[in-house]
Amino acid sequence: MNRRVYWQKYGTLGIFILLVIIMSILSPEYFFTFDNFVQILLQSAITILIALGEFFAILIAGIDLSVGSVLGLTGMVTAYLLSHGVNMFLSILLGGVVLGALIGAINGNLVVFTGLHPFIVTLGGTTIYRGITLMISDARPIYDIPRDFGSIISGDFFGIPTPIIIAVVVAIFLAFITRKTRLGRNIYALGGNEEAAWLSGINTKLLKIIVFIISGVCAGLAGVVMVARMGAAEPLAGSGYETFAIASAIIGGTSFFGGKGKVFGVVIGALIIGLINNSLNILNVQTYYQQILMGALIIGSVTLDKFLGTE
Amino acid sequence: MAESFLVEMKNVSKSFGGVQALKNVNFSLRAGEVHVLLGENGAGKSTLMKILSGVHNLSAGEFFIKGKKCTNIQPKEAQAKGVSIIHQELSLINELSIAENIFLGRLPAKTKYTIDNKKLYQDTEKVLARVGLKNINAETTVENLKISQKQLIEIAKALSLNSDIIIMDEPTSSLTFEEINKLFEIINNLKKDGVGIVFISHKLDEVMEVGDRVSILKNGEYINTVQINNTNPDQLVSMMVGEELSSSYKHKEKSTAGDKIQLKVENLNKKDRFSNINFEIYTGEILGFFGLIGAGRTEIARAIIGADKKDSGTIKLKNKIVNIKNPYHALKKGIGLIPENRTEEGFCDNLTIWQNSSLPYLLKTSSLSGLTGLLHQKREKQIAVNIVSALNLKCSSLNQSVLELSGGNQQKVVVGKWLEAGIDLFIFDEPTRGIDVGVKHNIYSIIERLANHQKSIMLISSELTELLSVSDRIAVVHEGKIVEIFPISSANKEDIMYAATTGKSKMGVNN
Ligand SMILES: Nc1ncnc2c1ncn2[C@@H]1O[C@H](COP(=O)(O)OP(=O)(O)OP(=O)(O)O)[C@@H](O)[C@H]1O
Ligand SMILES: [Mg+2]
Repeated sequence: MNRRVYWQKYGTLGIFILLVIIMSILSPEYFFTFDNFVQILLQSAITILIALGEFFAILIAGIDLSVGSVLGLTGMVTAYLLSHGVNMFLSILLGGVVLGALIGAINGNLVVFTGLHPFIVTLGGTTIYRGITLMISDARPIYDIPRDFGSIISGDFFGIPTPIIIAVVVAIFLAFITRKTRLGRNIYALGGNEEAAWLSGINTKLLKIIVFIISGVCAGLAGVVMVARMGAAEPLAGSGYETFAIASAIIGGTSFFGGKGKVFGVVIGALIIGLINNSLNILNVQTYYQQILMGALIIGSVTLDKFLGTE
Repeated sequence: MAESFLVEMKNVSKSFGGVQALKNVNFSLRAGEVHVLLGENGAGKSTLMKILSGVHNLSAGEFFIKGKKCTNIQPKEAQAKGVSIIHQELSLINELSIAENIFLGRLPAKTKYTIDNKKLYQDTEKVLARVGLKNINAETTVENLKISQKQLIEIAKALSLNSDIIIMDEPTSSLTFEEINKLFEIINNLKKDGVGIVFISHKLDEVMEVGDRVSILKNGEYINTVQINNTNPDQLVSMMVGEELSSSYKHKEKSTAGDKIQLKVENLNKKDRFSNINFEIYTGEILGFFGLIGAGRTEIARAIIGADKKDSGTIKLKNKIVNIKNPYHALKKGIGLIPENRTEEGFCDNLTIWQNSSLPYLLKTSSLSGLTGLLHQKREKQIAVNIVSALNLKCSSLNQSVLELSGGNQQKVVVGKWLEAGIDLFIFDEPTRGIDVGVKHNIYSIIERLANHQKSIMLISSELTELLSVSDRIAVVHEGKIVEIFPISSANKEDIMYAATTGKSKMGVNN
């Protein structure tokens, strides 16, 4: 095992642990508490969900810029259904999962049949889905959401907040897909060399559509969690979240050229972002510094990867 | 030192991690000679030349270019010292034009900030003419070119540098015989100008024709250097392999072709590519496909497996019409295509050897367009192990990336992965490109063994000797049309060449 292998295996995790140690020294009384750790996880749940979908889009050498808008639209539709007395689970299923899948399928089909780069397709999609959200909500938030919904989706099971459970279950499921299934192997192959994958018998067109559906469903679930946490659906919810999603995937070691990356890394990537935001709050640093720091972190971690990750 | 060499390498060693690719190798190059490097796949030929051209740094030893000692030079410095290299794996940038590729990094300037496009295209046309690429626009993007054209552009690029040391790492592996003759003509002219050429090839007839001296490497060790005039192919092979092995392949005794038709292609058409393609392959039969550059053989193969769309035509498998929409359908129906361009179409460089090896198998045994099913690591690794032993694949671990293998060993993965996928009809597109003599024979005997098991084989090759020694029949393709299909009993080099170059049959009958 050489440096490159070590870095690829443990690099992201190492940065995460380092940050935890630094913060524990700087702020033992606030930071290093069980409650605060739960808080970080809770704050990161939405980022983890959209980052996981984004991860798949980047894994096939694409990108999904629409995750923030999809989060907004699915959240709005879910809230709309809930406020009109539709059963809670049906609302989640239709407004979050099915709608997310549908939008993903639209993105995927556009990518496959226009031959355009996913960057263009989802860039267009971003404003379209946001526009639809504003249209159906009349640019007003929806507040009248049944109390049950908030207390279940944003409540806790055996002391663990539900959003964390949702994020963890989705992460485990997707890790299983990537590591143990042929679907997962095919996605890596597509990301590594599309033509070779196609000639080996992989239906690369269908597979791209599936990948965007996964991304859409993840964003849809994030939309549902967002509504539950806020107790309302905001028409601009999730704006700019694609930055967090892309940053998590990249910090988590996903190659921008496709074919390389792991679900676990992406989760850690999202946690690093959550951890930094949390730490800076504890240290009373203003939000614009947080943004600067996050940008620096993205560039820094990819730079490190360039030097440590190659021979 | 009585004699002055262009290049002298002494006791050069190189290791990659734990792999010792070169051990104390000596090499020298004189002005005006062609020095051939010979050795099995993975022997270290490319690595030695990558050291000379500054791509890799050596681990031990020293080398001199025109008497000046060089340690750890960069590719740019090597170029400045007059060394240019045509790499085994094509390294053009697909998105740029031919002209930009050739003059990358030294585009002619008009003003301080702008490019002199007129001069660029004129200069490009001049070097393209030198390699015989005449009817081609210098502004064409490389992406749209065929592999042989790309290879010629690599050669043109090296020539345009006006170097006096030119390294050619398997330059002929994807060229047709006309282009190879043109290359030899160029080489002879370069020799007259005092240029020293290092020539790497697995084709011994070429080596005998073009070489002056030949050095043999084996497993990273230097074996010997001999004058071409004082040796013969059999002797070279035994030095390479370390045992007696004939340089020519033993013709199989008799055909294993059955009487059932496996594949029947009727009136296959695609505009500007091929027209009226009709042929059939019987079970147990090996049908060779011969033709010149751009004859359309690869396109026909791709249309059969549904990798590209066809305009019209029917395909029958065992007398039933099938509608093959994509390579997955083809695979499910038992058809596999082993592509000609290994780095671009053959493997995924982010996957390990065993993961690449098992891909067709996993897809064949899954359903719903390959979406279902779990992985099966044990079975997958077994597949890789089988390939390693069947094709004598040299790797340090099955977990290696295919990219770390030598060119010929990469090719073995590309061919091998189809052998375990339960295929009935194999389409081999130039399967022995860049493969050493021993393994070549290995692949021929595998093809014959497949035929023996009543599998059908469509064998596309530009090496006529290869086709003549393994095929049952040979179809000759000229500009998208099948000119004639020769039964092996009446096939001979002359008639086939005539058909391939003129598009006419000597018999006067169109088959
Ligand atoms: N980048 C690399 N990393 C690890 N191993 C390498 C690398 N490049 C080459 N090798 C190893 O070095 C050895 C020599 O490889 P090399 O490419 O020089 O062989 P070659 O003689 O050119 O073979 P071929 O005829 O197949 O092209 C092989 O065992 C190969 O696996
Ligand atoms: Mg080589």
